[in-house]
Amino acid sequence: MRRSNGSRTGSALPDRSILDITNLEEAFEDDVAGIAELLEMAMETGRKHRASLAAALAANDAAALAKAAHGIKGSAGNIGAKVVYSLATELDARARTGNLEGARERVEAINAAYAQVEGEVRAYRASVPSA
Amino acid sequence: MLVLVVEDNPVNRKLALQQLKKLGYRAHAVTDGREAVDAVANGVYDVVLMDCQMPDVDGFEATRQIRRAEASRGGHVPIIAMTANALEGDREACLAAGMDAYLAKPVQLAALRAAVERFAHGVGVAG
Repeated sequence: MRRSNGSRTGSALPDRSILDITNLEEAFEDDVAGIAELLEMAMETGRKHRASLAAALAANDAAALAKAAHGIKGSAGNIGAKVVYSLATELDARARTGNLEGARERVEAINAAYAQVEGEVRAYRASVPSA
Repeated sequence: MLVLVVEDNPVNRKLALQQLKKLGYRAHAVTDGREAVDAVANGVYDVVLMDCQMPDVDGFEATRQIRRAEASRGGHVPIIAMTANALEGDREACLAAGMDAYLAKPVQLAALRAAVERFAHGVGVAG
């Protein structure tokens, strides 16, 4: 359930099981516009990485898949997208060893989890007047 | 205290710069290992935060080049690895390349403070 209040910043807090922005709040403090900007940047980067994931999957290229998963893992971890981070970590580790078994299902799971994160980011941005 | 952030991912770069600002450190950023080698050659940085996986010249190779240059001109800039790998052996690979310390992503503010302060006070290397 979204908490529309209770933050010292007054912004809509994301569902922290999907997007835990504690790390960002520590760094940006009351600068919710800065947090929103970083989250939007992460969504843009994530779209590029997911396009790379799809291309790597189509090409059965484990190294490219690992590289794209690694990129997703890095930014997802930093913004607190926990489920995406966990799925990308697993895919990265498996693809690094050349293991593509179940890769399609994992990519689909990442895309589904990302859609949830995007929803949380949209809601957060909508709650920040200057974002 | 001037910190160099070497990070190709714009999200991670922006967050690292913000975290350093929050901690009261001045910081610059570059986006790949080649730029990092050039920037460090100017000798103005007190600490380097180095991403490991980057296109072209990665963090490992950049560190090796920096250490080779230091071997001839002297000096030793502390290099702290920042990596999302967090797999067994990664820490050893960072240290083997010549890095002095290791931070696993996502980097927490407290961990970043502890790592940078260690070198700000000139205490110890390796670990």
